[in-house]
Amino acid sequence: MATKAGASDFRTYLDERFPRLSGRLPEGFVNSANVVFVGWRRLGYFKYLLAGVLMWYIPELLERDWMPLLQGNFGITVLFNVGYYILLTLGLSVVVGLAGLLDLGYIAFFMLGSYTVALMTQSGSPDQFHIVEWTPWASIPFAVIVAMLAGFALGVPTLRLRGDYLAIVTLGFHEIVRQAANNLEITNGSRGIAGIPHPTVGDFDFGLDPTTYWRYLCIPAIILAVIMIRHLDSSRVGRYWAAIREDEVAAAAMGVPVTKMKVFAFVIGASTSGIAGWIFSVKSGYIAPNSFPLLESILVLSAVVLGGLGSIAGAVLGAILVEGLPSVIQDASPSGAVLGFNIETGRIAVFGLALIIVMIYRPGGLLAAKRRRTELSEAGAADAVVVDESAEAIKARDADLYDEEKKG
Amino acid sequence: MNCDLGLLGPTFVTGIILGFLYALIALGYTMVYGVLKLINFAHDAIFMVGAVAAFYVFGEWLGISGSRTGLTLLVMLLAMLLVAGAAAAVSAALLERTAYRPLRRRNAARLSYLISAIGASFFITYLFQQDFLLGPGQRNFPSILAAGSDAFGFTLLDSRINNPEILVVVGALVCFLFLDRLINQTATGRSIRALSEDPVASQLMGINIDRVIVTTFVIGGFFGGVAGAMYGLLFGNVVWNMGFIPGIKAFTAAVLGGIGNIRGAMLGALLLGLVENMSVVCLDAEWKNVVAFTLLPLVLIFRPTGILGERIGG
Amino acid sequence: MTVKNVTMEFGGLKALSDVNIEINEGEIFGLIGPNGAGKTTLFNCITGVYTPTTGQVGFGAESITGKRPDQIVDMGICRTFQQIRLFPNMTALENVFVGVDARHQTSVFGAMFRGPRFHHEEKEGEERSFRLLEYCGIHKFANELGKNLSYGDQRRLEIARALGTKPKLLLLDEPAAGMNPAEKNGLRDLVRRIRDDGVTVLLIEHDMKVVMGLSDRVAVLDHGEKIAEGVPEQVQKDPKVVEAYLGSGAGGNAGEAEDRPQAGAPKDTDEVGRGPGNG
Repeated sequence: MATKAGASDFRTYLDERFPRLSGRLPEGFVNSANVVFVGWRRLGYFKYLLAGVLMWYIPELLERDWMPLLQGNFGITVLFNVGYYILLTLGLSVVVGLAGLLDLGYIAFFMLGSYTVALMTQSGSPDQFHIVEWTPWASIPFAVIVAMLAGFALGVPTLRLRGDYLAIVTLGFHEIVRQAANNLEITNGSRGIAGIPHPTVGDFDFGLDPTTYWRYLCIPAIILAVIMIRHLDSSRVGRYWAAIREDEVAAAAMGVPVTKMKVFAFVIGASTSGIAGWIFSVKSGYIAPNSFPLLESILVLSAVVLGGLGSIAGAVLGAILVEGLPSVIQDASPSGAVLGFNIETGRIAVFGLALIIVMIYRPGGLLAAKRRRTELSEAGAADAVVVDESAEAIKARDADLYDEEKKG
Repeated sequence: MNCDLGLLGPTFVTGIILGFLYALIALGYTMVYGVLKLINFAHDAIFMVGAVAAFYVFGEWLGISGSRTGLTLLVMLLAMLLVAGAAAAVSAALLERTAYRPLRRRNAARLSYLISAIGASFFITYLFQQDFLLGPGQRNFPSILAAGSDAFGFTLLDSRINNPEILVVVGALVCFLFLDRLINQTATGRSIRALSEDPVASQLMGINIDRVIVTTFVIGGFFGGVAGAMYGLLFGNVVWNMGFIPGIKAFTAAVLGGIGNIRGAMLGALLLGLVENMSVVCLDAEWKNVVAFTLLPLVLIFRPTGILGERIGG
Repeated sequence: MTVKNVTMEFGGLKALSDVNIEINEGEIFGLIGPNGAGKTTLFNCITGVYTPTTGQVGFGAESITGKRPDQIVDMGICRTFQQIRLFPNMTALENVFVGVDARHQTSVFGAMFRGPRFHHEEKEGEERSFRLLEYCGIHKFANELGKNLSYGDQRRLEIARALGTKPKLLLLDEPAAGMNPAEKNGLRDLVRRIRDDGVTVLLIEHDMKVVMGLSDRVAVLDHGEKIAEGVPEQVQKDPKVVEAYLGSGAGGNAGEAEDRPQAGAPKDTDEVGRGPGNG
């Protein structure tokens, strides 16, 4: 009797996500993998500690040049970038993956978190406006709270709207926040705020070395976020979000406070971007409206979707694909271009195409469970765009069904 | 807040002119929404494709620049608009075929379409940003219409109205009249209206859904492309991301007037153009976009069905 | 529960006109009428999906007109849907659990930090959900996805889920539609059991045998108006009722009008209106 999310053994895990693959892997391999899989689950909370330790030693790996293309300092920089990006994808995964809300302006929260830090520490030129001038550590809770408040402020009036409208409004929100930062004096306009201090502990200055940030900041933040999200997912809250995804009207009729739950999703999702904003600010020391283009919002969304909706592994994969992979390719190719595609901008075109392809062929994302895929691939009662009853359509739908059933 | 009332006249004029431009773009959004109940996010890219097609054909390949007059001008103008419209229409049809139709076959959830649309928009837009296409900067658009104080035109309310501006207004009006007749008085229009009201019944009545949907995309796309060419003539350039902000504004306009409603699109667009531009009277110009972006949530919160309501025939 | 002078208009179309109904605690009350009479619309008015244009709905001492659906569940009223609206990709157990959760208090905070209340409610919830599945006879499908259940079982699941919310009043919208005679008997027993366990039931049904056999009292709607009310035998003989059924061609009142629920239907269904502000 499983009300808990997640498969109980490796075989089930494979069946849920990659049924065709599951049929083709040799039994021996699956069994050995199963030992690891089940053992991992048995560890309970200890596995987070273990994960933390493993993550701790990744920079070692990179420093010893064991991974091709990710040599030395470059590798660690990529690691750090992926690190705070994971916080972003995790947060957005709650909004889009768990609650099913399309947020196209997520980076606005990230930006607000970042600016909160800048405005609460001793930064920028002498006549820069500050709310207070405290040590960077003190602004952590504030960054998170500001992001959450923004999520709340955006959510309450808009979450009653239908998906498409919500998307555009969130997009507009991002632009408004960015333009405001660009136009207002207190944020130093388009010049941005430089000189954001690094966090220090006693004599030890975190400095610019990404390793320290990765080890002491990213890892705990990521692990904490993962734990919280897992907790939410297999609880009343997670069930309510799932019910809302499946059928809002029915959910409300069963006592689910739909709008309240949606706002919660927004707020929780925004919280990780607050932390990410803090980490970003204190490490890079300089932020400006241009550091947070609208594009980033869409990119994070792509990462979440491509990696796999509603799946933590998916969020991580997405972050690696969207943030890590292009950096590696860019470093590896001398001209900064591949096949005539400038990497920095071309990757966006590639991701756009990937989104379309994923939606058609693997609707929930790469690592999504079959349940999530069918959620996205079959419209619910009130959700259908146009009900296509033509012969081809029916055949296409049935084909999907037969395929999966045959592979078991 | 210091308001410069002297700007009232010129901003009014600009607002109207831009409003007409937005209206043409809004058509694409509103028509697709009317039929599929879904925002075609990628329409901003379609708009850009139209402009770019005109740019390539007339600017790069035929090497035309410098203003013309008389009959030559008329012919060139029409050709330009047609090329832009056709290119955009074809792109729109392709988009429908490759990105949306497979989803329709599967009766996919709404979220899928939205994500796909975003993907399409970004794919096309950033594709054109590559160096082998437009490249990252602005490119000059063949300026066959003369502008400036010594060219044909007149002054109204303290602002100069030249050929490009006249073209936008006249062109948009003509397009709208044409579309209005098409929707309300032809068989094609009837099928579109039928599909937008009741897809199931339409199918039972023998309407070929696929064909009507493609037609809708083609029409919306065509006008979007025409708008693109007009943009190029009005502002003198094309950029890879030219569609992004006008797209959002046009969509806002469509919702403002009543999404799915063609006359609403015109009304909403004019209103948006006016509000956005006349805000400059009291606010700094850099806040214009913020004003435009704030308009949408306000409309959605206070009058979600828009001014004219949601029926496609108006 | 009282429904007083409820009128529901949709832009000129009067789906309900001045309907008055009183339902007593502990009874099974049937609501019948030809198709399009407004029965589901009335349900929607009671459960907060629609707000009546005029009129009031009272429950116990309180007025529930215009409250949100989840608030109404809080007060002890729950419903099922004419066109089954389960959570198709959740298991049967999870479906019921959502209903059971209505009576839980674990907040977002509690879920994140897993206090004692969380653990207690999870355990109790799981047990209760399973017992409800047993109660409705579908416990062997506990781990099946909702969409994989047979039609009759899906209807039972909807009822189990609604029961999870510990309702004082249960609204059933055509629960027997699409069932075969054996299933209908099972349903009848289930509804009786539910009533005997202290839940008042308001039942919309087209199948006369079912509705007349179960109900203590019956009301008849036609074209949005209540045209008769009373004990089943009385109502069946009422000439106005007979005419309503024969007149609209839906079959005589003694017969069994076996209507399948329709997809994409008239306003008198579960579909909340389209538009940016809704849904």
